[in-house]
Amino acid sequence: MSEDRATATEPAAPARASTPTSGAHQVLLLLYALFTVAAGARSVVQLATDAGRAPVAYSLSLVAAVTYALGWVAIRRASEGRTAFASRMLWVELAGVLGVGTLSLLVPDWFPDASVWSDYGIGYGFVPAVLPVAGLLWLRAQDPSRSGTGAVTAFRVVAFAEALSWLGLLTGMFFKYVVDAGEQGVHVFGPIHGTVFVAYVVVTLLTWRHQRWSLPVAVLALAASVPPFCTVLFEQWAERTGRLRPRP
Amino acid sequence: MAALDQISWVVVGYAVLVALVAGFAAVRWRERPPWLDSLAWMLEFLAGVRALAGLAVLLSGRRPDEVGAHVGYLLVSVCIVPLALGQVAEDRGAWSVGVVAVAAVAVAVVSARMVMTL
Repeated sequence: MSEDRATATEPAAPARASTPTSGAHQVLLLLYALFTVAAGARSVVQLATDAGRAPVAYSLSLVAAVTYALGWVAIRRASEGRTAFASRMLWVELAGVLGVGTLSLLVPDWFPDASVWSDYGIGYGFVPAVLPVAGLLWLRAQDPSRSGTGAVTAFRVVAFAEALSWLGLLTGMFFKYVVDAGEQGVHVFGPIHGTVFVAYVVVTLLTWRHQRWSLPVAVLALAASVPPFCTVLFEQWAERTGRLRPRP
Repeated sequence: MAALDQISWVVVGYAVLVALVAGFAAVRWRERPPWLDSLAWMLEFLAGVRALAGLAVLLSGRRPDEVGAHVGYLLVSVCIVPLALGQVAEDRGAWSVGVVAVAAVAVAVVSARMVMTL
């Protein structure tokens, strides 16, 4: 039934086993729709009622809304087998989140009120920073020649990034509490660590399913994100015991 | 407006429950059981009650602290579940359960924000 619909709407697309109607893109599509509405409504109301308060931040929220609408279109097309637009659009979105997030930390004067992407989307639980990464991972999984390696590679990269962000945060805390040299470091690395932490949790849950880990292993993987640098220790242990061997 | 806030918190609690049940269903059965749709429509009913009550209070003349945002939340809260279930109408796979879970979390967040902006 669902296969019929997919081929009826896209007769020109080659029949690929990797583009079923069901899949992670369903969740992505809903999230992009929700963020289009949230960012769009928020920026339009703010620009219409109080534009003078934070014009840069409100305009950037509108840009975010347009990006999410285009992201929705991109993922919809990619789920039908046409991945070219998504492979550019998701990078644009990632650059937007990272650019605006960094800008909001470096030039707080431009952001008297928050934009959607301020502090890497802290107001939305860092989902804006995780969303393009999840989209790119999903897109990578659509490529049959790379099937099976995406989840494992993502886990390795994010586990390493988690440890790095801990290093940054601890350095910031050292300068704040021990040297008493201001809290700039904590202010910068706090949101970065938060983003990477959420990404680690998401990627761990996906890897759990993909690698068919047992529940204790999954709990251990999640617990490793709490003490500093333990994600790398877990990754090395999982590698040694064959739990990160790519599955077809 | 204690009564409105109470309905909102009931919606938040029920939405979190739906999200947890959906998460369990996704891992346990890897497909969407029919009763999960019923749970989601029950959530839609609760959100509808909250929206109608909120609308009645607005029409009676009370102004929320942030009018624009609050009315936006009232409208969005009743659109999320139909949007999500419509999107996965022909898909009963594990990821469609994820869609229901995300929708439930979104309703919970919107309801909580409703309390903050009243």
